[in-house]
Amino acid sequence: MLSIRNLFAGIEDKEILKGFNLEVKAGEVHAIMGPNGSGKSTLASVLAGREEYQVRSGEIIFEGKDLLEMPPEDRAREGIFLAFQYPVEIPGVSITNFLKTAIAEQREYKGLPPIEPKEFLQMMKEKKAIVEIDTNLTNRSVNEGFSGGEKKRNEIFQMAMLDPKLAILDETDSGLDIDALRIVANGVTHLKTPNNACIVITHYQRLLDYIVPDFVHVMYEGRIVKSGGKELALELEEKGYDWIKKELAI
Amino acid sequence: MSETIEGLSLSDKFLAHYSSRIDSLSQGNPDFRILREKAISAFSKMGFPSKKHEEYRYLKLDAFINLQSIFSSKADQTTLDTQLLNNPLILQDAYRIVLIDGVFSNTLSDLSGLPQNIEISSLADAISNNNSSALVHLGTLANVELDPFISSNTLAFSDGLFCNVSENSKLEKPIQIIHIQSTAEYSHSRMLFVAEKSSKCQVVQTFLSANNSGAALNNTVSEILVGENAHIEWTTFQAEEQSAGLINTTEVHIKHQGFFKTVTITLGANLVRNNLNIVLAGPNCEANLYGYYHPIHNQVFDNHTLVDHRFPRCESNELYKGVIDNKATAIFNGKVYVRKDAQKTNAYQSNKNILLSDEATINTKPQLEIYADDVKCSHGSSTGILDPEQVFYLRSRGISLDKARSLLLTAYASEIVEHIPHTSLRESVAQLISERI
Repeated sequence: MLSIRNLFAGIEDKEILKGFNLEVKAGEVHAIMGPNGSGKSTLASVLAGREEYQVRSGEIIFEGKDLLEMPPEDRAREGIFLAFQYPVEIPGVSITNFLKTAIAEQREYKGLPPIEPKEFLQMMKEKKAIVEIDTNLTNRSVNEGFSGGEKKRNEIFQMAMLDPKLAILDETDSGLDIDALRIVANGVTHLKTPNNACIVITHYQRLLDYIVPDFVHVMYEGRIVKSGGKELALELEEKGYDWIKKELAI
Repeated sequence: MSETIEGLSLSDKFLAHYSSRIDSLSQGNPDFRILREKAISAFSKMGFPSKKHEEYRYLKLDAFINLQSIFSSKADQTTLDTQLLNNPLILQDAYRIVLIDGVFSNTLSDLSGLPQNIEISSLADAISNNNSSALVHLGTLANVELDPFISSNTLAFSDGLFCNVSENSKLEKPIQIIHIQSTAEYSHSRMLFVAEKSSKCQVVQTFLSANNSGAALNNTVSEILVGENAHIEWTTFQAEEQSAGLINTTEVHIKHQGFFKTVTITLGANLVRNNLNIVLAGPNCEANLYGYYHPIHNQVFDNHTLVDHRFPRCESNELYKGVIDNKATAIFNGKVYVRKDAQKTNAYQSNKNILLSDEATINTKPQLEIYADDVKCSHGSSTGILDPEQVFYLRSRGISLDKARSLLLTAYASEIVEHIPHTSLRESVAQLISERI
């Protein structure tokens, strides 16, 4: 599904990703862990198409297409979804109107007919239940005045509505209490199918108790330095990132 | 204007033209003649404003005020394309008044069902019929000494609208005033609107122009008297052709416990200048001023507002928001005076701008002068760009760049648009704004 090869990217004059490689297949959950500043969020930004990041070399192929050639909206329409670490507030744009517009544009891109209003409302109702969002929230402006937990639940709600092929969760667990963490993680698990995939970027192991990864990668200084199964996350939690540095003699 | 032909400046020629016709222009009415004479005298001291005129320095008026345009003949109303009135901005359920180049159109206006306690007529008719309300109030709010466009309008106008809402009357349907500029000339339109004690009504005025009107300049002066405890909502929508010009002066006096709310949306014409001057002329009254302007290409939109607190315990709220695109220019100049006797005043003013292009310009000047000591006042101005983080967030969900900008700007404008009291007009305006990107 996704193939990142020898990616070098950064912002302004600073190179952050230095030879990053990753292969993700349908049905897989990949966790990317690593200390602060290792380039985890840069990876998420580059995948979603944030324009302030420049890719110097390497390639990202998604479902056979060159992702780097696409503007952010086309990446989303092809099936990439980024759950933001810090979702921005958009006063005056209701969640309902926002999602109606997003779905309309995505369907048009795919050559599908517009969604029926009744069908849209039914879908809203079903997906809200997954992340335990109440109706009042979706009538409000996007993220405006939301608590940290509400913002993250809203991200997963959008993911449920847009049904992406590849979801990238950028530190979705940060700032969540244990209940919100459980709701968010259950939402993600519920949305998992053999046809989609998920990249979970996290600093801590605790999210991975709920979203069980098939692979865990440790990122350091802009590339993956160690990969393993879910047990690697536990080992990291126990021994800390210094252990990796020592083991790899870096 | 500095150009001189045969030794006379443009202003002098304009003056000479109207001075020689003062007898016919005064309709045989001595009071009206005095007003015309005052205007002639005032204009002779001022003339048309040049670029050196502090209050009009950002406006290029030469294209509109020239020898070809200033001696307007009455337009031929029969050639007007009435398709102009098949427009989503025209309310279906309203008393309709159409002014063509400032002249009241009996054929296009529709006042059927107008209650007896509301008087609406051509201003020329009201004067020639010696209507006492018209003659008492005309020229009392718009001071010819203060502004060259007030004086030139007052010396030259031939017609306009007179409306008198009598005491205690509450109008169920709105009044819509449609100004149509039909020819490429400098026309004068005059309105006198008197809302008597405890009356209530809504007015929507819509500025349109025929699509072949070229560099037409409409100089409109409106005098609005909000009587004691009266309640007036006044919405102005400006959607003239890109070649047209509009100078729109509105003088409002609000008496004891009166309420006045105005929403001004400016999208059309090449050059628009709104002079909105509101005097809180009695205690316990309230004025709310909202404005949205969105110039594109090389449009120049200039809003000058003045809120004059003269009496205690009044409140004014002002919010003007703008979006400036391409090489367009916007000007906001807002003055709030709180005079010595205006204790317990609450006066708030805010101006916000979004620049969409590197070549767009905003000149903003909020001004607050306070001479009373027990008041709550604030004013502020901000100018920025569309938040790139918000744009990216929307795009990351599959929304195109254009649509994302349109969604954000519609949301930005909605803070003003939501104050338009008519649902259908509110929706039409929101639609027009969203299509502007």
